[in-house]
Amino acid sequence: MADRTGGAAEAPSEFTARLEAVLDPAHRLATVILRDRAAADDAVQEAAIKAWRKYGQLREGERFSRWFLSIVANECRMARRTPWWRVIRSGDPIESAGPPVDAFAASDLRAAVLGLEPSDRAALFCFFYLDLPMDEVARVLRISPAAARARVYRAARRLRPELDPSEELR
Amino acid sequence: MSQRRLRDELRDVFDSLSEPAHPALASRIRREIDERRAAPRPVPRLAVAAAVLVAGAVVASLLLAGHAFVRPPATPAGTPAPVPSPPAGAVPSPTPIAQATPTPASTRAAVLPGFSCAAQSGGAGTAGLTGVRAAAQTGYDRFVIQFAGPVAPYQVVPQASATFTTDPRGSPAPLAGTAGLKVTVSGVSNWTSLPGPTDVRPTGTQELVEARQVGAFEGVVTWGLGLARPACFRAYTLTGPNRLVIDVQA
Repeated sequence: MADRTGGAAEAPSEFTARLEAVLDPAHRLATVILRDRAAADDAVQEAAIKAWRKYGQLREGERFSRWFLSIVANECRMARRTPWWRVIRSGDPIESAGPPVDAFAASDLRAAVLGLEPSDRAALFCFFYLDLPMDEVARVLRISPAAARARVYRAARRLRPELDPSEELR
Repeated sequence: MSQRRLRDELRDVFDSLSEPAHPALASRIRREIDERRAAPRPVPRLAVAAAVLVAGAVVASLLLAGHAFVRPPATPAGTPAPVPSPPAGAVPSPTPIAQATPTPASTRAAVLPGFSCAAQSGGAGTAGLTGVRAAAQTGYDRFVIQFAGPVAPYQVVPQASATFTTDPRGSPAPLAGTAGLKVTVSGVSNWTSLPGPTDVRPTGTQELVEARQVGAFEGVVTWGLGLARPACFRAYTLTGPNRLVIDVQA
């Protein structure tokens, strides 16, 4: 019935087309937060289902990519909160919640990044890798722009303490 | 150290740390959406629990109050007869659309609402839509949306042109006529598989020249009514079967 209207019959294809355009950065974000490919797959899939259900709530003019990344980030947060996640990840040295890595001593930036809190990694990833402006980073992480700026700056300083403090993060 | 240098270094790190989506993930998601789309949406457990609690509370209060306090509804003399259910048309069928049987306006004048040129709304709950039809009546043209249950929430809004916007695509949908009425029904349970025609061009009508479904998304079904000229209308519900009736004044 809805074939000629662009309504029900075409909604999923339109949605999936928009979704697939943002699937790669979304999956990268999930792997950066969760550090587990299978868990990232599950989180992105669950986020996609939720996005499909809430597609009607996407406001006019709101960017689909930012909206979906925000759902993915939230899904990753929820995945990490489950008791089962703590059980299966407890033996993983990368994810263990130990003291912060001393970036002075860490010659390997990769190891230092892995030692960051997942929320800090996500902030750095959105800002430096996805090139999102700070207010978009804030929206994806569902925090205030000031908190996003502080989080990015704090994490960057932990990686590279010699980072020029006079240079404003943009 | 400059921010630019850190950015370059972090890009390399994140390139090695993160992984793009496997192509199979996209098809997995598509399949999952198709399956969920075909399956009926489960009722939220919280809603079921709330309904059970409310039902229990109602039953308990009735039992406690006892039958002595339950009075039968008074039936004052001279109460007007219930609203009749005028025939709004034949059984819905694919185009050409069935024509409604004209009914003398005098028999309904006392019970039907008056015509108005402002937006009108009503309805409540959730129901499946079983069909639509349109026909000429004496003094007005009638458009009917029929439901399997109670008439779902609806809104009828007049507009100055006969061009509507499709939902969710957002593309223009020009209909015949120079003015229009936008009929939005929410809470339609079978919005993914609506029966009946999507475009109706009734014959013999003076005002209503075309009715087209311009949206069906997330339980909200939208119909555009193309009018020959701006006209007042009345939107109301009838029972037996349950239906939303929109009469456009000729």
